[in-house]
Amino acid sequence: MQYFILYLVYMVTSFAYAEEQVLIIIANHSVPIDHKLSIREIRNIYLLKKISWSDLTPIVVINKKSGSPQRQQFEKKLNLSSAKYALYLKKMHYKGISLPIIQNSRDAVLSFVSKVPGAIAYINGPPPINSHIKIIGSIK
Amino acid sequence: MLPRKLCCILLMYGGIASANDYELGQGYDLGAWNISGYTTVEFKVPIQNKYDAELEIDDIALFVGGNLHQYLNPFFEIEYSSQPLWKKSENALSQAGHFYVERLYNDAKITNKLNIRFGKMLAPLGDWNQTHAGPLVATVNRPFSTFINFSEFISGVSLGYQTEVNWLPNIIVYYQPWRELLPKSIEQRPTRYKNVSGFNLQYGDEFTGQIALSVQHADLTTRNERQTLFSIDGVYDFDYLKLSLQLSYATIYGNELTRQRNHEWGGYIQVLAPIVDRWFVVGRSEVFMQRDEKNAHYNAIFGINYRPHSSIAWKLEYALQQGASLGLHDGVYGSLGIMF
Repeated sequence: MQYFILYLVYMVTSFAYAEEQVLIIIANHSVPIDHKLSIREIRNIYLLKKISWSDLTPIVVINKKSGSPQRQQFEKKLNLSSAKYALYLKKMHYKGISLPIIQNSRDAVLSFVSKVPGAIAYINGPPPINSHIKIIGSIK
Repeated sequence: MLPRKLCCILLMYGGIASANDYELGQGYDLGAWNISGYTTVEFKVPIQNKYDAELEIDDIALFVGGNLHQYLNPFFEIEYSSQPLWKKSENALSQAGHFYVERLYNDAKITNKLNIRFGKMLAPLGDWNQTHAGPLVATVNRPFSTFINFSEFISGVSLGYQTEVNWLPNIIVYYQPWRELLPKSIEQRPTRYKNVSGFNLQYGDEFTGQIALSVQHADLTTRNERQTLFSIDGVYDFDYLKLSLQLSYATIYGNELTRQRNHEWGGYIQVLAPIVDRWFVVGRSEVFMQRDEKNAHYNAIFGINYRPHSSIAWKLEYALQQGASLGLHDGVYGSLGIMF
C-alpha cells in the first residue's frame, strides 16, 4: 500500500512537472508552416519582428495576461524579462504594430486559434484535437 | 482570393475581438482597428527666479491603426499638447494648447519582409524619435541630440525591409519631396525642412543589444541652409543597467549669417538601473555644439522612475546645464505618463 501511494505521488508530480515544462505552439490550420518553429522563430513572432506569414496573412499573436503563470513560463523559456518585454510591446505598439491579443483560458485560446486565420498561440496540457488547429512547435 | 481571405479575417477577428481581455496600454480593439493613446502631465520648478514654475499637460495623444488588407493598413495619430494647468504668476488656463497631426500614413505590405509606407511618419532617426511618448522613455526632458537638428517627421514615402537573419540589418529608406505635411507651429518647431531623404540601418533588438546608423539629408526652409546628418544610436541591456546613447554629426552648407561653423555635433549617454522592484535610477550626460552658438551646451540629468505597470511611469529628475542655452533650465522636473 505504501509503495502504491508513493507511486501515485510520483506519477502526479511528474505529470504536473511535465505539464509545466512543455508549451505547445499552435496555429490556425491555414498558416503556411510545414516545419516545427525554432525558438528563434517563435521569439521573432512574439517580439513582433515577424508580422506576416509567407502568404502575407497577418500573424495574429495570442498571449496570456501579463503576470499569469503560463505567460511567465513562456517568457522565461524565451529568455525575456517580463517587465522589459511588457514595456517593449508598448514601444512596438506606439510604432504602429498590432499587439498580441490577450486570451486567458485554454478554451478561449483554442476557440480563437481555430477560427482566426493567421492566429498563433501557446498552450500547455494535452495537444488539442481540432481539425482547424495545427501544432507548429513546442518549447521544453 | 484576397478579398475573400480579408472578409474572412475581418468577420472572424471582429466577432471575437469583443471577447478579448483589456490590458492597460494595449488600446481597445474594434474588429481590425485598434484605438490607443497616452497622456503625460509634467511639472517643472526651475531654480532661477526668472523662469516660472509650471504644471502642464504635455500631451494627450490618440492613435488609431487598422489592418484591413495587404495594401491597406492605415495609421493616424493626433495630439493635443502644451496645455498649461498652473503657472506661477500667470493665469495658465487662459492659454490654450495646440492640436496637431503627428502621424498619418498607410502601410502596404509588398512581401512579408518588405513594406511601403506613404504619408506623414516619424523619421527613423534614433530610437528616441520613434518611441518618444512620455510613458515609454526614461526622463522628462528629451536629449537635444534626439530632435533638435533634423527633420523628426517625413511626409512622403519610405521603404522598409525587415530581416529575420541576425547578421543583416533592418533597412529603411525614405524620401520627402515637399515640405512637411501639417507641421507643428513655428513656436514649437522653429526649424523646418523640405526635400528630405535618408536611410536607417538597424541591427539587433533591445534584448540582444541594438545599434543603428542613420543618415538624413535635407534643405532647411526657415534658414538659408542645407545639411547632411549622420547619427549612431544604440542600446545595450546588462540586466543590472541599461545603457543607451546617440551621437550625431551634421555638415552644413549655405550662407546663413547667424551660423558660427559649418558643422554641428552632439551626443548623450544614459544609464538606467533598477534599484528595487519597479523603481529605477537614471543618469544622463549630454553635450551639444549648436551651429549658431560659440560655446557648447552641456547638461546632466539625475532622476528616478517608478513604473507600477508597463504603461504607467512616474518620473522625478534634477537637470543641470552649462554653456550655451538651448532651452533647458536648471531645476526639478517631474511627470506622470499613462498609456491606455
